[in-house]
Amino acid sequence: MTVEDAASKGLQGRPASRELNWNAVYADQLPRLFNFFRYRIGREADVEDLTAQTFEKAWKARSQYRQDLAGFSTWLFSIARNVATDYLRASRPHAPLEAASNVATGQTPESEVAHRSDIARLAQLTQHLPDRQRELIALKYGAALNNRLIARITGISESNVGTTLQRTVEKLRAQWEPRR
Amino acid sequence: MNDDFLYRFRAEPSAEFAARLKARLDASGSARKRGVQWGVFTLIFGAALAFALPAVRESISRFVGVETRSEHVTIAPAAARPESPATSSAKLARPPESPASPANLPDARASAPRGAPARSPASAQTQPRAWKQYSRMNPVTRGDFGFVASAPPLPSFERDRGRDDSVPHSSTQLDEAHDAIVLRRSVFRVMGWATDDLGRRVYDGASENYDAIAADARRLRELTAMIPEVFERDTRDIVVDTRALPGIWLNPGAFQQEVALLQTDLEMLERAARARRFMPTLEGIKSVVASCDRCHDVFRRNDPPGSTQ
Repeated sequence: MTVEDAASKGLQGRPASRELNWNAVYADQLPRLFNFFRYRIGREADVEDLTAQTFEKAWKARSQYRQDLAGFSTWLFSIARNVATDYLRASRPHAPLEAASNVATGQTPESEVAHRSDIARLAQLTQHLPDRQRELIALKYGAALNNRLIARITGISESNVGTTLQRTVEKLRAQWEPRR
Repeated sequence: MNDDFLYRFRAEPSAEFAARLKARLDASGSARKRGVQWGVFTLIFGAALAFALPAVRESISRFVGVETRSEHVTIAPAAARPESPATSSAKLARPPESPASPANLPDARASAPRGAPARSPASAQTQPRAWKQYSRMNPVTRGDFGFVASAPPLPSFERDRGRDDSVPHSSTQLDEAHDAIVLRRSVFRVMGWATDDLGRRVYDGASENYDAIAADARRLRELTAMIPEVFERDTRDIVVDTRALPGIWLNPGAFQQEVALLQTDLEMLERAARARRFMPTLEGIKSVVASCDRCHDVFRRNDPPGSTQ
């Protein structure tokens, strides 16, 4: 099920009132939002707080959501982007670039530990990307949205989204692979 | 590193977190629903009770009668724009719709016929025209209202100054654009006043000013609701002094979402202040400021500090 499927399924539950089926939307969007913040913020401790904050804002403002203006996930992720921006504005990351190379990379045999170190390292690497690129990575790989939806959410063209993502992934690969 | 590798870092939120958040949302939803139900019930009950009292019925009918009579007042168009220094420094008087203060109106208006008959098609057109002329003769200037001294002044719109010769504008278009901008600035001036007041309350000590903060937040939320309406008139095609950026009309969805988010932030601030919770109140104020900044970053032209527009 795609992201818009769930949202439209939620909306089509009661076509007469166009009321949102919050349960369906919540089940579908929670993992996406949660992972968006994991990739965007990179600090596990704050991810749950920001996810909750976004849902609460959306829930409180649900009467103001207008389906004719935007898809539900576009609307929800607009809120999430603002929450992330406010958070980052309040607490700028201070980790130096060199810190990324100091993170362990699979030296332990336990896969979980390796996975954790990988995500920590990825978080370090992405922290030094420009905001726009970092946001696109979070929307694409964290929230698992397609380029078209990302284009709608960010207000840039779909082709621009694709090109920027490709360049960003190449940049990450270049920084990552010398250590592998 | 490929796409699969990057997707591999995704993780499911813990079941405990998902359940906890869901319960919190459901609880806030049902509390809100109960609140709305109680509000509707109280409103209906209160209205029924009020209508049952003869004194209330009488005052309502008197009020309606007054309103009806005031619709029949016709204002003649002003003749020409007076050029005397006294007029140019005139303070804003009552709008021409108000029959209460003829002394405050310019001479041309004071000599308008009184007790004119019921509204005719001609007089129906006269009022907006009179208002436009009146507002042009009495441009609002900084200091007209003490309470908005910190807000930017309304545009001193002059037809010739705003004209771009390469773009033919009709007189109606210019008038409409002028009216739209005056309306927008007026709303934002009052919002500026409420925001200043909010800032002062916080500066003086949020914990001692919860009620005032809640009142400011409510006031701002009501004014915020007017924002989409006052930007309905697209002024991109008219060259006038405005800080509104084209994005407002090019991307109305995003603009309205920003407005909706600001309303949500203000609602949360009001609740926090009413509940007399210190940290949520401060956090609420920060969210409101951040929402304002975010919207201004995208939809408002940034002028250098000290400029008047």
